[in-house]
This record gives sequence, C-alpha cells and structure tokens, in this order.
Amino acid sequence: MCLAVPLKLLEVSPDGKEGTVDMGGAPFSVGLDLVPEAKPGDYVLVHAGMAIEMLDEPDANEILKTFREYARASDILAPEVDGPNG
Amino acid sequence: MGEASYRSRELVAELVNALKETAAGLPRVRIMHVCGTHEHEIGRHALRRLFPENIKLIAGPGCPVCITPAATIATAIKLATLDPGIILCAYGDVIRVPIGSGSLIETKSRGADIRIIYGIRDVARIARENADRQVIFFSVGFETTAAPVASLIASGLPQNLFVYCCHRYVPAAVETLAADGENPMDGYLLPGHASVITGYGAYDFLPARFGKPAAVAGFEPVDILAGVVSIVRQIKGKKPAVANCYPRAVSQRGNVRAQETMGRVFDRVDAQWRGIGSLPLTGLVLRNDYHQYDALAHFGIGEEPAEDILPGCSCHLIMTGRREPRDCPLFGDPCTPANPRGPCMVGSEGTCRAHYLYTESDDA
Amino acid sequence: MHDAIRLAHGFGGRLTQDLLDEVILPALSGGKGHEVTLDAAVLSELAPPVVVSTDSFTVFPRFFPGGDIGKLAACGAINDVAMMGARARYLSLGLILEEGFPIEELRRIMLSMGEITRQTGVKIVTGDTKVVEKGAGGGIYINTTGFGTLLYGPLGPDRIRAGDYILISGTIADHGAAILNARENLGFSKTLESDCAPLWDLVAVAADAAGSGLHALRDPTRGGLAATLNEFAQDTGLQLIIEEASIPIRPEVSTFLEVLGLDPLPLANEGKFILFVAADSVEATLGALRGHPVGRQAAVIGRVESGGRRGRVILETRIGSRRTIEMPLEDGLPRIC
Repeated sequence: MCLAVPLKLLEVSPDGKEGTVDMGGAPFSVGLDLVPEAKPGDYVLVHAGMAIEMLDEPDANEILKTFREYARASDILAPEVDGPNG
Repeated sequence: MGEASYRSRELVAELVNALKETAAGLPRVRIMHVCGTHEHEIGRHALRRLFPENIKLIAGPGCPVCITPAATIATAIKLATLDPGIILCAYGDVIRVPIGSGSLIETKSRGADIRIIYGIRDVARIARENADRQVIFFSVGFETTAAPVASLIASGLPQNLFVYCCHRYVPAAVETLAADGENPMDGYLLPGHASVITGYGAYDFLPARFGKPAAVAGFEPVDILAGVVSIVRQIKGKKPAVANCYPRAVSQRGNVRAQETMGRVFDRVDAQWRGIGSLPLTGLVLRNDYHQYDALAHFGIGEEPAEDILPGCSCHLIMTGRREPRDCPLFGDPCTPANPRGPCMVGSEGTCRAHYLYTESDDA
Repeated sequence: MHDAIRLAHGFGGRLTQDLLDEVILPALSGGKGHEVTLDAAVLSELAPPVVVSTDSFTVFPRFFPGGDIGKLAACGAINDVAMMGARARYLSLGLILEEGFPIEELRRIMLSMGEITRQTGVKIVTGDTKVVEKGAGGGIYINTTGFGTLLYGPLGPDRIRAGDYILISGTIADHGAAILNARENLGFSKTLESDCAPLWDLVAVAADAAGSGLHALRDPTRGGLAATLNEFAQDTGLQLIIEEASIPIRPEVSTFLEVLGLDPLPLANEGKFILFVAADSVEATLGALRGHPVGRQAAVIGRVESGGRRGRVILETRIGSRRTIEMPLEDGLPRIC
C-alpha cells in the first residue's frame, strides 16, 4: 500500500516544517518533517499530506534511455538511475 | 514531469519484450506482491494482459484496509459512538469496510461525527478547530503511513486529540509468508513506497535465508514491469538478490529519520491480520512515553470482538495467494463492491474489488 | 434488490440503474416491461414537437467554485433538453425548503438561476414552493423541468451505428473534482472549479456542422463518463472502444485525482457532452466544436464497434493494453493506499 505522488517543492516555511508543492499548477501545503534537507526545486514524494522522501526526477529523455537500456540488457537486474540516496 | 514516459507505450512494449525473452522456457513462475497500490495499478493499466502465460503475479495481503481486523473496525465504531461530542477522523477507504454489525460509514449516516481526512495534518487542524471536543484519529496503514503518523505524534498532539492506531509492518509479514512452505512463491515484488521508509535492505532475508529473488518496484507501468523483469532474470540466472528497481526513491537504508521517529513512538508486537491470523512483530503500538495519546487507554475501553470472515468468504485465502478472486464461490454474485461479503471487495485496493472493477478484456 | 433506499441509489451508477430497471419502470408500466431511458422525451403529439425533461437537485455543498445549486438546476434542465436536439424555452421550478433554511442563501441561489435564464433566453414560467419541517434534512431541493422545441434530430441510442465515432466537448471530471474538494474539505486547490454551464450554443454549433451525421448526445453528469458510456453500450448492444490517451483532462484535475487515488471516469461533468457522430462527419463536427470558445478542448475519444463484447465499454489504456470500464457503484472517497 502506498499511494504517494511525486510533486515539486516550490517553497519551504522558515522553520522548515512545512512546504508548498505544485499540484498540477495549484499550490498545496505538505509537511516536511521527514525530509528536513528538502529545498525549493526538489521533487518530494507526498503521502497523506506529508513528504516521505526526496526524489531524483530525471527528465523524460533520461527515463526513456535508462529503461530502454535496462530492457535490452538481459543480464542487468535493475535500471540504473541514481536516486538522491544513491 | 516524467509521468508520460513512465506510461510510454513504446517503453512498456520494450519491457514486455524483455519479459517474454527472459521468461521463455521457464516453467510457471509465481511472483507475489504485497502492495494494494501495486494491485490497483496493475488492474487500472491491465498489465497482466501483457505478461507471458507462464508468469503469474499474485496479490498478497497488501491492502492495509483489507487486513485490518474486524475487531479493530468494531472498536473504532464503538469509539465514534461513545459520546455525541466525539469526532472520529479516518481515511476514506477504511470507513467503508464492512464487518458483521455495520461499518463506519453506516455509523456516520446514523449521526456519528466521522470525518474523512486525506492527510495526517488535517487531524491536528480539526482538533485545534474543535478545542472543546474530543477528537480521535483512527489510523491504519503500513509503514508508509505509520512514519508520518509517528512524526505527528512525536511533535506533540493537541490535548483533545487521541490516536487509535492499527499499523502493520510489511517486512516482518513478508518474512512469515516466505517461511510458509505450503504456498511457495518463486519471487517477491516489493512495495515501492513502504520501502522508501524501511530501505530495501529490510528484505535481505529473502535471498539470504530463503533463496528467493526480490525486486523493489515503483508504481508506474514501467516500474512494475521493470521489477517483474528483474525477478524473472534473477530466476533464470539463479542468483537471487534484492534488486532496487525504484532507485529514484528507494535506497538501501531507507529514510533513517522516519525510522528513528517510528522507533521513538512505536513498539513492534505480534498482531492480527484479518482472516490470516497473528503474524509475529508486525503490529505497531504506542510506546509508554506516548501512552497518554492512546484512545483506548484514555476512554477506558477494550477491543470489541468481531468475526473476521463471514461464511463462504474466501478473502483469507485470496489475500495469501491461495485462491484467485474468480474462484471464490461468492465472487460477483452475491459479492460485489455494492454488496460486499468480505474486505477484499471493499477496500479500494482490495484484490477482489480490483479484479471486479478492472475486468480485463478477453479480446485481442 | 435491497429493502430500503441507500445513498448509493442516487449516484447514477449501477444501483440507480437497477432501481429503475427492476422497480420503478416496471411498476410504472403496470408490471409489463419498460422503455429505454433517455435524458428527455419528445412529445410528438404536440405540434411542433416539444421536448420535455425533468431533474431534481440536492447537492452539497450548495455553493462551490464555479457555481451553486441554482446554476446547476437551471443548466441541468436546459442541457437535458439540449441533448435531444432541442432548444429549451421554458422552465418550471419546484422548490422544497426546509424550515430554518437561510433566506439570504435562497436569494443567492435564485439570483444564480435568474442569471442563467437571462443568459440563455429561457423563461421560468411556472413554479411551486413547499416548506417541510426542520429536521427533514437537505436544506433545499430544486426540481426543474425544461420545455423546448425540437430543432435537430432525431437523436438517440437507436440512431447509433457501428463505425460511429465518440466525441467529447471538453475536459472531464471538473465538476466532480471541485465538489469532492469542497465537500470533503480536503484543502486542495480553491481553483478546482465546476464546469457547470448551459450547453445549447455548443450543441447547435456541433449539430449544424454534423448535419444528419449527428446520432446521439448526452451530458455525463452523475456517474460521469463511465455511467453514460455504459448506458449507451447497453441501450445499443454495441461495443464502445475508448482511447485513454485521447480523453481530455485538466492537469490540475488529473494531479488532484492521482494524489487521492481516484479514477476520473465516474466523476460528474456539468458543462460537457458526448456526441456519437458518423465517420464522415467527424472532422467537421470536431472543427466546429474547437472553433467555439468553450469547445477548444473537444476531442475524439473513441468509436463504436459491432462484435466484440456487446454492450460493454472497453478502454484501450495508454500503455497499449485493454480493460473494461464498469458501471460505477458509488462516489469515490479519497484513498491512502
């Protein structure tokens, strides 16, 4: 179970506990307690109104390239996109 | 954003090809996933239709709403109706779950103040806005949800807010399932967002102790396919591991801050999974330091007993991959989402409901 | 069949249909079968042909971004008549008010209705008001019946043929998303707005362009696209194929629904309609819709086939797979999982 959506962080409150993300063009407030290092411009994974992790959101071309390479190389076990945590 | 790419028809086709190539020549492969969101997305995108015949993706007990014991729902109903002034907050999917004697949504229609919330912080806001009333947060969910809830509790709750938690911890459940020799699986597709919290290292026991391949997968069609491809490649290569097919979000260690917060707020105990029974160390309960927030303690009540599985229902078999929804004698008639006989047909990610709503077309 | 009415009987989905099919229509027909359900009826014995349609409204919250129950009631009747190819001329208005209902709210609601009638040239010519005791619940119930003259058509499921295309006049789920956000107080964007609007102008533009190639119209209100498409599939016995990638939806609505884990297909639309159009009229019809200020997002979303799964609606997913779209059962509630 885990309905969570990647959204772009636009603003962070002065105490760092809350932020505003971009919900398809509209602002939405989320809690940032679990991702204290998040800063505006980062993508965060939002579940039940809280950011639970920062994401590395590659652009569309990178996504295509990474998964295509993964599909075509029959001996690798995971697509190689580096996350923020490595 | 990249969403369109993760649903790109051409990328999906490439991964499906890769799956067919790897799966060719293998006997039947049974892969279990343990995430209701995975089952929902698989149904929504009709992914199983694209798999080769010999690859079976089976839904395990991954819907936290479905595995919440009937006794817990009964207790939540009791809490909501203890006093007309009480406000009970719960997530939308749990309020519909039926037990023999009713449901939270029926209780709401009879006048109880039960409020559907989307986010954890809405609960604190409701408590602040209703300072003269007592507010109870009925919180279910796996570690993905337990972590934000722990964070809320750790930062201190308004004095009129109490928590009735029914959280479950997935890695421990998977460990018990993997040890079940009666219903062996060939591999495990691991939950992407729960693993964000725990880290994929929490599943090392799968290859290490049981020799089973595993892959953590995200929720877009490309992610799910990538995970299945990895598992089948591992089976072919006979080298089981825990592959991270969701590296943009999941790391080996997970969200350490979230784990620390959970560790401060919760203890892990043995706990009941509806229809399945007790799974060791899968339940999260408030630690002593936070006991003052515990709703049952504050209101001085105990758990209400209730029957988990009604006669004829196969949910307990379906949730452990022992039976397909269509093989349940009640499926579709009389058991439908409008007239559910068990939790799997109600929870929006319940296996039976997902099958019912997203009946895959048989035509080419 | 249940013993008592449940809330879900009002959602416009499977249970509503069952109630009509199994209880109401047979009883009205003296127990011997019933006719196809349409949005409106042509009173062919009145000359020139008069179209009439009735609708009742009870929406909560009563005021929402993009409109209110008054605007909804006025547009609802006007649009039901429009879906038959008729321009609404007159409305009747029935009000049932609960004792204690604030008069200022009533005034605002009536102002909204009045604005729509002036905008469209429709006249409210008869009405009735009743008050029920406090505690009956609901605050205000509005019934509107629209009367119009048939200008295009005939239109209806029996004109639909295999080979027809299915168009939609604009983005889906706007109303449903706005109501959900407002009703459940979910705290999402205040800019999620209902699309509530009178549709005659756009219908006329499309009908002029399509000519005899226009076969049927319907506005997917309660139960959304999922319910409306299933109704047509069942009424015609044909198979409808819908292309997921072609369905227009605003990014804000799409993200909102993704965050909540909800499907847009069963959500209500109050300012959109679907069209069944013969193949050789599609280009002209689409062009006419898109040329109109409120039809810019019009799109071809599917087609009608004979064979296959008769009476079913099939979704071709954007990833290249297929599944059915089922008759919706109930309102979506936000999920966490």
